[in-house]
Amino acid sequence: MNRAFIDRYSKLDSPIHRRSPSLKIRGVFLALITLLFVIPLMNPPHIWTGLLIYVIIMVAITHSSRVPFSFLLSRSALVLPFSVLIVIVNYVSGNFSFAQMVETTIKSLLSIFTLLLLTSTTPFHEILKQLSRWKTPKLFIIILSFMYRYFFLLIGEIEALERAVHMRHSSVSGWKRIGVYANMIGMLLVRSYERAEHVYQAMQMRGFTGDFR
Amino acid sequence: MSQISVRRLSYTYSDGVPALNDLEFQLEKGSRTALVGPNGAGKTSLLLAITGLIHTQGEILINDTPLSAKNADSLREQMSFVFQNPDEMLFMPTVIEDVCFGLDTLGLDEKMALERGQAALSQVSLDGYEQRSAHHLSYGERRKVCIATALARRSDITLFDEPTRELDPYGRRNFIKLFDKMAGTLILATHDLELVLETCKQMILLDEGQIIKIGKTAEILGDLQLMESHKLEVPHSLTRHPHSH
Amino acid sequence: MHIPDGFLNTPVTLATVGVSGLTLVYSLKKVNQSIRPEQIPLLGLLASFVFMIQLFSFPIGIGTSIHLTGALLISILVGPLAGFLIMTISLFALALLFQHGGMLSLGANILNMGVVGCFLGYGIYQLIPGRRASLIIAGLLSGLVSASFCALELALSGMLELSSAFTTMLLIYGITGTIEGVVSMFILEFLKKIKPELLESTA
Repeated sequence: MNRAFIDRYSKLDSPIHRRSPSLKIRGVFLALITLLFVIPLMNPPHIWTGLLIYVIIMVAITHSSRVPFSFLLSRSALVLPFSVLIVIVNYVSGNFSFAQMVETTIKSLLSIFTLLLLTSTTPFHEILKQLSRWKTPKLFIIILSFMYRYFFLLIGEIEALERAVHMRHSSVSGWKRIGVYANMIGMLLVRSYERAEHVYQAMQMRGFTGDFR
Repeated sequence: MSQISVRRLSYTYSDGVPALNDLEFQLEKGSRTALVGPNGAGKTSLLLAITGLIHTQGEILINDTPLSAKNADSLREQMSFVFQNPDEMLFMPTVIEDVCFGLDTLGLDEKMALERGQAALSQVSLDGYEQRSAHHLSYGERRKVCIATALARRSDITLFDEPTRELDPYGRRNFIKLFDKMAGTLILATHDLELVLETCKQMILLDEGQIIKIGKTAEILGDLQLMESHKLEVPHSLTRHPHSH
Repeated sequence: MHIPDGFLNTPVTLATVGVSGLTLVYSLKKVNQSIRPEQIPLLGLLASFVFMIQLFSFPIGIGTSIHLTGALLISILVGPLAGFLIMTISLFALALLFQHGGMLSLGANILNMGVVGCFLGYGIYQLIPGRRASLIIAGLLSGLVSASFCALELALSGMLELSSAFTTMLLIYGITGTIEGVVSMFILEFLKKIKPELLESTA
């Protein structure tokens, strides 16, 4: 599984990386609103001009950020099929004109690309810090923080479990696989509970009393 | 002066199995004591008891103050506990946040906490690792971060649970060097008998929740009958081999 | 189904963000009031668990795999309010880090999967709790309602020809929901066998 999803380029040094997380997050938010709600208000052919300007700006920022274009494009392409499916269904059913199909696909691609730029130039813990500076409820931040931290561990564990299962169950077919996988997930769940207990003990050892509000 | 004093300490698991049975001992301030015993002897339970993380029967005195549920939080301010599994201790997004976590409860402001954290990372030779994430570090590096979290606290009492487990010889040697330089009262629960010989002059031999013997490390570990009757071995460096090198 | 960005118009976006936002505010308030300190790391670890479930597709043996949400399971383990919190956080992270579902369509996705799964699905289960059938029916019904909300949101945004696609969506998500109920059932039975005390410490 592709583990290098965000962290790969978020620690580079570039004029974009050096910008404050606050600016980048707000910028991306504004960009998405413009792309998805403002530009569509324009009538063709102006809408294509709008999209073109957006693309040019994105390309410029990408270039400045030193994040490889190929990385951003290939990751965008990965998530695109879903949007493409909806678009095709609409076109085939006559709901979309050809122009609408193209427009929607481009908007979808660009919105994914924009978000990717954010996460490729801002480490996750910086995003978290900024969210907490914006008075996001502490409980939300703490859970998000733990979620991120232990996600990688879980991936490793599920891969190890999968290997173990394949070594003993490679011939399990059909419906029985559901049971096998349910057991694997159950095992991970039990481990999560046990780990949570120990993490709480570790937190207590470092003075955590539950007063985080 | 005894820093840790334990009397009639007992603990039973929730399923009724006894883990600790009527323990009694005292540890002097500044002492280094190893806790040795076979699997299931109760080593981890004893460490959890001293830190007040589990509710036990009997008496535990930390600096002559009886440990209770009410004051456990404040008594823990004097202690650090390095867990067996680094992933249970490192729960923050970045290394520096892990190392500095809780330093505010010791009265340090943000700036001082950061300085302490960086100094601690320096002590374990992890300068520059502040913004790294724990999940990207190697096992040995994660272990070092755990020790850094203890060093940053500058506790009077530090407890270690199997600190050299799964470490390669280089990592293990690094730990011994760090341990040698540490200050305060240290308790080391481990299976690594050579480690015990090298680092702790005194030890407690535990088996099935009971103290079998307390005393000088070399004496206890060199007692073949005693070791074998408690599912242990005499460490290699204390035996005389016929086919010496 | 995680709706990507670019498929919901402004009114639908605002409406769904509004509903999900209010539910989130309410849940945060309630959970903050009732949570014990020792439950905090648990919620975090369960969030990474749910996040992983949503990221991976679950093989169902007939050459395909489906996507589970984990909403029903998590609500049974920690209650619907904490469950909803976890779902929201997981969906947010999924959108931000993996672009599964858009950021502006997050409101809709939280509504369709979080609100429906944790409150409706759990509510249906609680009518006759503890029964296998309840789990399956809860899964099925929340799948159907989820699909309906999704279809409605897309249709109102002009992105779906309701008449043609609606039945297909209901079919697909009805089946997915049912399987989610079945998988939740297997997992809960596994937990009962291995660590029954987990199920007592719920909500």
